[in-house]
Amino acid sequence: MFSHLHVHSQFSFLDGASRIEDLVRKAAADGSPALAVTDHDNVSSAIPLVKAARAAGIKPIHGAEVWAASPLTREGGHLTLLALGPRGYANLCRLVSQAHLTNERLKPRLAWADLAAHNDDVAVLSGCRRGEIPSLVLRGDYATALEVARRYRDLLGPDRFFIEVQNEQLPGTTGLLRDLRELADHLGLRLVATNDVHYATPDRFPAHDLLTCVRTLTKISDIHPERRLNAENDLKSPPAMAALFAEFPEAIRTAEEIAERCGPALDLDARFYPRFEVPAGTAADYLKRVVEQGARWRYGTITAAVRQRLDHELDIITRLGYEDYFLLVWDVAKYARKERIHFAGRGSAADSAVAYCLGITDVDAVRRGLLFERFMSLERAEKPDIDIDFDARHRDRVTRYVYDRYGAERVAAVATFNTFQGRSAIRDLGKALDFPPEEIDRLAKRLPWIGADEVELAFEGLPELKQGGLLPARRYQRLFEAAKAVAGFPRHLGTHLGGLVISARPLTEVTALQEAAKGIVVCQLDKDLAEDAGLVKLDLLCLRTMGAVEEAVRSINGAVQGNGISGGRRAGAAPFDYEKLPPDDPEVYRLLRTGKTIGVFQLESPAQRALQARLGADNMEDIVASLAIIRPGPIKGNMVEPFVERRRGREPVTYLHPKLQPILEKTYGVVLFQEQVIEIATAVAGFTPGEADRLRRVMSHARSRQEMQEIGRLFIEKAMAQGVEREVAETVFGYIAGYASYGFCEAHAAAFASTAYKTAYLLRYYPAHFFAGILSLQPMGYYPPNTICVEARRRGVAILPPDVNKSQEAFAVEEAAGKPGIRVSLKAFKGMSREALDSIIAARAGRPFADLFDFCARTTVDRDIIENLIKAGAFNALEPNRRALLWLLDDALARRTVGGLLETAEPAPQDSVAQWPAVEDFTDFEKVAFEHDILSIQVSRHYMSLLRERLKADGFTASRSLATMARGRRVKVAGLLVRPHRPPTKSGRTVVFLSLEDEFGLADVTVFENVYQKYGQYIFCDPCPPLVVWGKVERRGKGVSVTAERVAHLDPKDLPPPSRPAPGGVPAGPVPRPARSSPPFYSRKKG
Amino acid sequence: MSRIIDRPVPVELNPDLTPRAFRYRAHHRVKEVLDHWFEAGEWWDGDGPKEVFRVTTVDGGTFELSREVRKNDSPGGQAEAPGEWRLYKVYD
Repeated sequence: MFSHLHVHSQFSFLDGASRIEDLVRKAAADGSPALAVTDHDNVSSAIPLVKAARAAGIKPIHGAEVWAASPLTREGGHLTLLALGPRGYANLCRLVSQAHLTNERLKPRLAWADLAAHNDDVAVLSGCRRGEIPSLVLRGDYATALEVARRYRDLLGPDRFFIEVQNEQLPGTTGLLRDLRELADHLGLRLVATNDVHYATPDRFPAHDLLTCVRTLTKISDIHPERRLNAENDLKSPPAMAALFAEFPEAIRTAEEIAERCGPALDLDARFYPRFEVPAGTAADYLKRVVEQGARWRYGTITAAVRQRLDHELDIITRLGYEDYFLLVWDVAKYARKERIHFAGRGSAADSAVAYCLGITDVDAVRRGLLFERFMSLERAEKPDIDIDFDARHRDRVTRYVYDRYGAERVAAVATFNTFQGRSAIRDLGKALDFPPEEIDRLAKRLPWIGADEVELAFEGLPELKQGGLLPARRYQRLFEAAKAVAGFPRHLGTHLGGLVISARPLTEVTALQEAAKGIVVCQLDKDLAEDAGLVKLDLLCLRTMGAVEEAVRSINGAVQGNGISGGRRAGAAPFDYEKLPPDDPEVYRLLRTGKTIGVFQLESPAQRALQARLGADNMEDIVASLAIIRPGPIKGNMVEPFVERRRGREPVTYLHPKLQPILEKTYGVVLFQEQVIEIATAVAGFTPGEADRLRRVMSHARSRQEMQEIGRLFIEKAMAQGVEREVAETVFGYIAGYASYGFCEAHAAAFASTAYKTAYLLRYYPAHFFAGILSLQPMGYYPPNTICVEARRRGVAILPPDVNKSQEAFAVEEAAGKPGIRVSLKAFKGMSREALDSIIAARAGRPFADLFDFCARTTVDRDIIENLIKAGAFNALEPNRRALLWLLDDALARRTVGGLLETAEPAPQDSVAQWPAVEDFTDFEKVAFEHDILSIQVSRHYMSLLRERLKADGFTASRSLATMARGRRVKVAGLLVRPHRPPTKSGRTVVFLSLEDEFGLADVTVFENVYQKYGQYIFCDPCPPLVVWGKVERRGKGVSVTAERVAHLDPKDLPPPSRPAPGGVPAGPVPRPARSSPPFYSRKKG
Repeated sequence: MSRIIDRPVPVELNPDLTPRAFRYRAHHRVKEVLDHWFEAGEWWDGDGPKEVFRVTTVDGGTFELSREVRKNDSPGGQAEAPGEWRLYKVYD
């Protein structure tokens, strides 16, 4: 029976319109015994193919379609490679890797020499119409085609090189098939029939055509050679193929023979663990030694409990064969520590005392009573996955260290498959379907983060789409259908944020490698496929908080050089050591209890601030719980209120079933951690380790509703068999289902809590240094930089304007009127380049700049950057009139000598700004708008402060006044929109949380479904002007927010006129926007 | 050189459903089918797939005859099978 040997799946990225599962299902339904997948230049499909084929009971054949250099001419073309067995698969991976790694990125090309060197157990078909031989024939160059085919035959032999024929029913097909048969006969080669399949069924042709348009950047009405003329590239049934090749029955027979020759090529039970070179003895012995040393470092005296715990963990680690992996991660952590790169282990690795002793994590698993089995167990025997957060600026150095130490052949970044989601599908397909760009842009910007198959539904339900000035839904019907057709399809292969696979054997035995952006080598497997392939992953992640901490610590210790920068520690005191902070400082908890936690790692969102204001945190466990509870799982499960009430002792702690008490005791009877869910399943329903693991997978991978229902049935059934009443069992499982996929594991929460506490400590004692660190590492954290500046000012830290003579590369702390202030950095300027920075800093090292002319004469900074420096006030200390400086700029630049620096002593008196005719400066509003546009910070004034008098006259309440207002009081607040978001809710109804920023701080606002449906279009728009919210004050503990009743855009012309002319010409009516400025106050996105 | 005509013409068929003759200004007998292919058409505008025959006639002309062939499942595609024959192109 015929099997297809040339098939493209979704992993042909924009050239395959059916998923592997659909292709396999169709092949199996048609009675084909095998199916080959031959994606373009990659083997990403290999593992999904094996799984799908196993499930369908057919044989998987691995292959790839590559662009091969010609053995004879300067050209080349497509070639179909098929692995006949394991050796062939490894060679296939090598060939694909070579094609990528020896050529320009994204232009893979297989060299003849590489094919000659690595073709064992590989069958080669001559390719589609874009293959060299068919295209030569189509061009009428039969003689060259014959010679090229002869070279392939001589290299591979007639049993491994075949002339591929495809009856695609295109113009010229009849003649092409006739000529290829003649050529094959002439050389004693055999024909093999394929169909260059790009989709399972013809109804997927439109999706494929659109994907081709996206790939070729063409519109649907354009002509492009890569667009298919007809819909014949489907996975035709064996009878249909036989009919198509009625005149070439031998080609069908050859396909059957090749499929039979292909054996199993990929062993999913193989393990590719890394190997760590130890100085002497075994890796297990060495690990034991370094853990022993680490235990002394961590604990001083090793107690019996610690000893027992470490022995237990080491036993499991070595029995599962992961001693090399732990040593490898230890080595990476050691390197980072030696290089003084801040890092922190996260995730379930914090369940391990060994990881703690190795310095990988900072969580003492023994003291916290964390179970190692949650991380690794003999029953589950699953691969450990250690994640470490590094200072984002230095993470690549750590990655480079790993590449250098273990060899490029054995280390690769993990891939990600960037899939079509709502916005990307609308943008790409909208362009292909020839919608006007501005219309597509409006639609895409209003879409929330949803799947491409949910766009139509969103259009019906979301006010920002219904009432957002878009066209009626029917106008987009085809676009919505197209988006649905490609939903979840991979668009291109990307690089995982930090995942690395490290193997003892060359990675090309299991996958192919290619170059990613930034020049690093990436494998063609994502994290799940890498695990399936038997590879162990190490996540070296970037956490900008680590960089902010590093900057803050350097600043505190006075390490930052510059003008008048003060260190934070007292003279003569020991250097501030971030790693040795007092563990339970009451002042830190006092700060947390105020709820004013902007800047604190993971505790700064409105929900966290509100929680902190009423939780009454006074120990680390409260922080751990805080991190775990403000998650969609516990929120959807309505667990926040009971937890707070029980924690405060205002509600008794009760348990639905006695078996829950030991599990939930430390979290006051509330399910907070993933581990508790597993323990409940085991204790209440008697789940076996395998069943519990299945539950964990269903939860942690957000599997389908059906899977959750299935495991729910099992839970209830087994719980009842254990004597639990049905109603109780159902309620308990309700907790579990509500919790699914959105919870933290306790170890992860504990690891993050450590960083949260430490950053809270920095905020409490060194706010200027800490905020300077945060501002230098932007974008990071929850808030845009302007909000951080508002908060810094609220805490008494001045934001000092940028200054060409004083600003450093990064934000820096200076004394300002006896208090610490933060000087805006040069790097914060939009468009600032490395060269410009170096030029400014080098030029002023000798003497400060005297004026604009002096600056231009002694630096090589581009005009655009100087213009930005002027507009945002960096020359203010030299000349406050920014407009005058702009007038002078051309002249100042004209006096610049060619190639740069005019080192001619002092500037001539006639160069002085004062000599020039006075021009009126920009208004305050214009200055603020420039600053916001260029620095993302309103330095001179906050925009809302410019309107404050009029707002006050109109009855608006400032954010700081809310704190003293009674619950239920009606208010009207205005401010710049910050971070509107819609977390999932248990009821499924929309609740929008947003903040309004004014010069005093944030007013947190809650918008419930009914109000959102009326006014959502004012919130989710881009750009978004300042908002007005009418509503009622809501109080919870020390937290205060506004529940919105009405929302609108703020229009200054609706405000009362100012009582006197505004300073600096603040307009009474509509505020003009400065020329060349982007819309000034859009803060929906960070930064 | 060729000219696009794209207008309906009556076509007589052989038993294998290939064109035997057609009428365009005069009666043309097909001498040979030179090529034969399928096209998806402008599916986004509601076109159905077409079957195209490039033929030579006894009187020495070369023509392309097409017809819509079957119902198309693509968005908007409503073509019925078999559609009308059209003379698509004439070669000089």
